[in-house]
Amino acid sequence: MGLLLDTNAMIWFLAEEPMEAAALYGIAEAQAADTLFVSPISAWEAALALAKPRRQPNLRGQDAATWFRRGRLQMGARLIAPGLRVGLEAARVPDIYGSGDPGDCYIIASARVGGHAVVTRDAQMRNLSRRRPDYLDVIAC
Amino acid sequence: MAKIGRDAQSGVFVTQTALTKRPRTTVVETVTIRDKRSGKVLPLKGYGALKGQFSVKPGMDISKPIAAQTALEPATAKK
Repeated sequence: MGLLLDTNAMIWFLAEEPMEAAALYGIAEAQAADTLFVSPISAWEAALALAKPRRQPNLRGQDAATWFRRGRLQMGARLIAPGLRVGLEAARVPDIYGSGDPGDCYIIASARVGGHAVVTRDAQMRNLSRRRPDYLDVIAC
Repeated sequence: MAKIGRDAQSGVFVTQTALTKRPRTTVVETVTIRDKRSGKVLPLKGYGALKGQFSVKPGMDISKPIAAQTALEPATAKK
């Protein structure tokens, strides 16, 4: 089993924000085992969340795509392919999760298809894991 | 106009870009972390590697669904 970083976990990890020790150690173990993953949906979410100063092309010349690529390399994380199985699983997520947010649905579906735990601070995802530990494994960060 | 020259190794004529291009390398930021229970120390790659290089939009909480928060932003397009 590997670890899949939610978008918020990836942003905070690369920014050296304080994180739970268990999550950091889990990430280190996953890096050592080459089982740390990120999803392309996080690149999309990062692009949505990235602040762009007015009249400037991007922040310090670094857009979300560059940030994602460099971050993935720095972490030694592998990219999860959002294939057909993930897409179909993502369509089933809203019924159980209670939200149709595309980012969350794809992260959860990718974790389920790959058999990975998700590192996240998302309260709704953590609630789902508490409610349905058989459905989703979450490591709070 | 691109300059050309002969590659020293292959002898083939190539553009100046190809002559001067060097493979890019990535220096990976690594710290170590110790597990409190086992005492085992592991390298932690990338923690803080892009510090200060990502600013989240004001008012956005990335621990909540991001797309929904973007959809609520007022339109900025000028007529």
